[in-house]
Order: sequence, then C-alpha cells, then structure tokens
Amino acid sequence: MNDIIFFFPIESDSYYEEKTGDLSLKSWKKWVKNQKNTEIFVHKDPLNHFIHLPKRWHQWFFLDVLDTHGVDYKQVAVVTSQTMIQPHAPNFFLLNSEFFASAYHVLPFDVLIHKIEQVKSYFPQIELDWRRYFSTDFFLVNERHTSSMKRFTEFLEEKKDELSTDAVHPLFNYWIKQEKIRLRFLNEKYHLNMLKERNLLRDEHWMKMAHLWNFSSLKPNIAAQLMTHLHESWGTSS
Amino acid sequence: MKKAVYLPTYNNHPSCIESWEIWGKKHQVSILHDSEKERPIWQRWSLFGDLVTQSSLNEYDKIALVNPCVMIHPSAPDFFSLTDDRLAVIYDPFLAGDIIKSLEKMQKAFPMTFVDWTEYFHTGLVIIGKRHELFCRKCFKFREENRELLDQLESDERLQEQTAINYLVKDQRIHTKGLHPAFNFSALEKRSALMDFKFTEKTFVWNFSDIPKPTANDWIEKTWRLDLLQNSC
Repeated sequence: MNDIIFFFPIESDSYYEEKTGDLSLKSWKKWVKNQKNTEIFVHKDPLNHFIHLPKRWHQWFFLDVLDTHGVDYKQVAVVTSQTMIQPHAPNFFLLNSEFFASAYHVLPFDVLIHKIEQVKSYFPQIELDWRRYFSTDFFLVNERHTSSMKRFTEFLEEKKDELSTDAVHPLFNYWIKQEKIRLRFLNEKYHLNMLKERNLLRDEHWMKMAHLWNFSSLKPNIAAQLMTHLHESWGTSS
Repeated sequence: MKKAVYLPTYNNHPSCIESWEIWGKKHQVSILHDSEKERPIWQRWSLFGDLVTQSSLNEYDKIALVNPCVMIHPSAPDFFSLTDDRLAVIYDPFLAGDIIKSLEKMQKAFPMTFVDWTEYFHTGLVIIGKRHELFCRKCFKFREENRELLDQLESDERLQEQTAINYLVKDQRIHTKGLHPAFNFSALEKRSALMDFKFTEKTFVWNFSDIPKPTANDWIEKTWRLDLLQNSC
C-alpha cells in the first residue's frame, strides 16, 4: 500500500487562480516523483452524494472519493492548490505514521479569533487554543481516522443550511479536538504562510527556508507571481 | 520558592510597571527595578553574574527578566510554576522574515553554531533560575569580549541581545522550556491584534516594544484603561 497525496484544486474563477492551481499541482507531482511508495490523486469529479454541497466542501469527502476509485492507502495527505512543495522536501509521511498531523496555520489574530468564535456554539464544551489552530490546506490522516472523518462529513451534511462555506476550517479544528484525536504538529517549515505580514517578501529568504508554502493569504495575482518565481528557481532538473 | 520579576525602569511606561506590581502582589512575586540610568539590554543578564553577590538578589530561586513596555494582565496565571526548572522562553516564529535576517547577521559572532529559524525564541519574558548562574555569567562575558561587534550590530542593524542569547543557548546546550506565546504576545500591529483588544482576553502578557513610540504609549494607555483590566486589579 502506498501513501497518497489527495490534491484538491480550489475552484478558480480567474486567470491567476488557474495559474496558481497549475503551479501547485506541478510542484506536488514533482515531489511525488522523488518519493518512494507515494502516489498523487487529483480530485476532479464530485460524487453524486455530495455534489449539492458547496464546492469548497468537496475536499472533506476525500475518503469517499478514494474508496470509489478503489485507491488503497497507508496515509493520506490532503493538500489544496493554495500550497506548493519543494520538490526535494523531506517526506513528511515518514515523520508520521499513526497520528493525525498538520502544521500551525498562522493567521491575523483578529481573523483567527473570529474563526474560533464563529463556530464555538456547535462545540460549547471545547476550548480551542489559538496557538494550536492547524491548517486545513495540508493535513495527514490514516485508516484510524476513517470513522471520524465519515462522521464529520455527516455533520456537514446535517448543518449545511446553517453554515457559511468558510466555517468548515474552524469546524474541523474543533472536530479533531472533540473526537480526542491525537494531533501532531509538523515543523513550521511544512507550512510557511502570510509571507507579507511576516516580513518575508523583502528579499528571497522565503524561497529557501521552508519545505511547503501556503499562498492563500495573498491576492491571486501576487500569489501567481511568487509561485512562478519559486517554480522557476527549481529549474527543470527537480 | 522565592520569585521575582526584574523590571526595567528606563524607557518603560508607568502603566506597564503598575501592571507588574499588581500582578506580583497577587502571586507573592517581588518586583525588582533596575537602574534608571542605562538601557537594560545586556546588563540584566548579569543578575546572577556580577550582581549575584548582592544578598538581596541571591535569595530568589527564580527571576523573570522582562523587557520595557511589556504589560501583564493583572489576572494572569503564575508562569513561574510552568518552567520545569528550565530556562523558560517564548517560541514564536511569527516575524519569520526578521528572525532569519537577524540570525544571519549574528552568525559571524558564532561561526560554529547553527540556530534554525523555527527554533528561535523571544526574550521579552525569560525566566531564569539559580542553576542558570553560570550561563548568565557566560552571556555577560560574551558581551564583554565582543562589545565592539555587538555595538556595531546594534547601531547598524538594530540587533539587540535576543539573537545572541539564542545562539548562546544553543552553543551552551541549555535546555529550555517553551511557554505559550500568550505569555509574550508580540508583533501586535503586524498580527492585526490591536483593533478590538481581543488580545487582552486571549493572552496574558503583551509586548508593545516593537510598536514605534509614541504610538506604543497610546496603545499601552488604551489597553490599561480597559474595564476588563481595571476590574481585575
């Protein structure tokens, strides 16, 4: 059995979003090529039973999609097209085998607190620590988490008329805590984001100091420019 | 266990000092003030070094070194109990761009030591114990031996002691304990944390030192006047 990258393309409405999605996928394909026992599965067609849900939520049905396509897995890394990985980045599957794993998602503090409070009413007994808010653009699960993921998709289905599309990220953070799933935080090099606010765009250090970048905080045209630069810096030999 | 906070007076804001005094009384923590005459950057590392002979300091088991313009919530928990007897610091790579540049600039003083940016800690609040006396002496000695370079880095690059302390901790293999970033919540402007003062509900110690003055003073005063804080005093 292999480890699987489940690549989820975020819906793109513009030239720049399409370009960033394309660069993201290229980086993941290159990375997979450099690994042993790892495959990439690119999500394309939603299944009938969740097609009526917001497109951004289709990501959460990744286990259903893999099952339908007969893909077996040891671990699955769900990644979105907002991310890029260094083609020679160390294999994070090897750092983790039994835990749910992700990386800390740096966000503006007001946004972070808003997200945490936005869905708190669904989990009145759970206190979510803002410093343990993990990324939903990159996380790892394995077969131990199958039933919990299934219940999460049922929860989304049940609450679909009440929830805004973006509420799903904090919801998932709460969900993992409520289910008492052990969460392993990967090194921050596996999720470098908010490049502008963190004073990273004054020079090119940001291109060397991480294994994985998330460009979601940037405007699509800026993200496309930076991702192109990153992609070109790796050349064709990667 | 006898505990103290070593608080700079120079360049500090009266409300920050008051916050520590109120908090100290609640937790039986003595508040020690430095000399008003000099900037408390490297000098404070001599607490357990040159100054240890002063019996008034020697009596403490743990001392928290606090930067100027750092305020504590009067109802903040006692962080001394969280240190596991290690050098307690705050790991927070939010300003990753600044961290990597300061590490690069300080590298010349530590050619054989490597500090990764994800392991970088802040010294806005550091807790030391008696067992760190030797380390503190080494820090102060390092400063004395490299005064010219450090002064140059400070004047040209605005690098203060924080980055050198990171290298010294790595170099001397000092075991640290990372406290929650709520105990030195910094970069408030860059984090978009100032607007609604939510940070005062979610964090305990606020570091205003990276906001340029006089803006920092305005935020300190506004924060200190909040009902939430005044009612906790």
